[in-house]
Amino acid sequence: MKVGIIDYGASNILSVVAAATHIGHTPIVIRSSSKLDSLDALILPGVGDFSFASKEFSNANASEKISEFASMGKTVLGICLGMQLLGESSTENGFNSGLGLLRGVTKHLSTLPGLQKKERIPRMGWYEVSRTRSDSIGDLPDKAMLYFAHSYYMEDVPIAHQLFSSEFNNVPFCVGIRDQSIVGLQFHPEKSGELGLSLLKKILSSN
Amino acid sequence: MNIRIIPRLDIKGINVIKGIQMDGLRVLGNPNDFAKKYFEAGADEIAFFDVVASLYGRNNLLELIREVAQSTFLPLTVTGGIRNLEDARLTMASGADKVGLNTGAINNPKIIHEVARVFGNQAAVISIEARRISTSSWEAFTESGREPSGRDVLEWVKQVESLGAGEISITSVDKDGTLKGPDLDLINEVRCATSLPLVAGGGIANVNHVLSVAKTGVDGILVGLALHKELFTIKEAKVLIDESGFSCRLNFK
Repeated sequence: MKVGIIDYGASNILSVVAAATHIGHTPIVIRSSSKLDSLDALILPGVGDFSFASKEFSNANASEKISEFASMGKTVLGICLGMQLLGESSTENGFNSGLGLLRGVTKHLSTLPGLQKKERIPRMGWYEVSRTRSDSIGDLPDKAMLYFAHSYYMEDVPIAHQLFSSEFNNVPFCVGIRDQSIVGLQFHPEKSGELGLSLLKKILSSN
Repeated sequence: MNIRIIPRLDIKGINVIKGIQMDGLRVLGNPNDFAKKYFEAGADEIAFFDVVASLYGRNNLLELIREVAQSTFLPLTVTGGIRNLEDARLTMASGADKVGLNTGAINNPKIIHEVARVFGNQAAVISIEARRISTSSWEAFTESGREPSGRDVLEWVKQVESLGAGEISITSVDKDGTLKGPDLDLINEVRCATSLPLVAGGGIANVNHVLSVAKTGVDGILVGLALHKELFTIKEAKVLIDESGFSCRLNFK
């Protein structure tokens, strides 16, 4: 399967390429302005700052193009910042709009409703992730741990789109989203060992 | 929070090396072989330290990281020789998930903000090499523990937090490579001085040393020589951490 991986100048492209190759796909690094026609799936990787990364998408009518791609039933996966970019907006370094392809807004973790104690941010390391609804790509083993490195999270995701949840100081929040063929993950499957790779495989072959 | 066990690979040229107190370097083997082995053994992250960090050696290091990233699907932190944003960009583009800044940040603290602004603050790790100068103070060293910077470690920790660092990585130069146990005073003091995620190491020889560091409240524990010499396994350390009431990632398959 040809998997397009969007390079927006500040990301861990190589790790995503390596993971996609390892699970048997053919990754192709593209820019947001590239044509998507020949691709079977699309990944927006993510290590970076929202306000910086969103500039790459601001003038390339990327939103319509990716939306059209997804409407053909092809998988679009956003990882970490990539998921947040697919959302409506973010407050990281000022207010910036996202691509608006997933419902939900990105906010700083310190504003997570219900958070009692001051927790260390960035939230960095391995955390338990559980499935919040039944889904063909959603099965994870008990006490599945995946790798996170983030200071922002997505809020106001419609319950029907929530796929995975995790906890920050005992407060649950959404870390996985699926709206038809568009999927977002707050954690890094490409950095989460064998478990992450098998999840990535299921997501890319889900449509 | 799950305590991370982080194998530390000191790199010189194309080899994993280890010195005592960062001096008298011995060659231990191929970095990619070590990384693969630790990936299979349940490491939570791998930390590379380019101990020479010469201009000449940088291409070797980045080539090496690219190779490791093909088969080791864990977070990789790369420290050494990152002096400006372009160095950070090249390191990230070679497969690093986080860049460790030591000499580069001490000479030019603005780099911390610059890296955080582009890659997010979770990617900007401040690496501190500390030597004890009195019963309760430590000095930050640069150039892999060779050069004194004149900066007080605890002051520096507070400063980098305000500059946008996302994590602190602290190594006791006095203990590094000695297998004589960690400098717990140092780790405790740094833990109290910062609310950032903290990883710490230097001097660990057995699982009880690992547990003693876990008890300070760190987020991650760096282990070098003891793992390379197979004095204990990552699994053994994690089982003890778990049995002692701390959380870690035990089931990694």
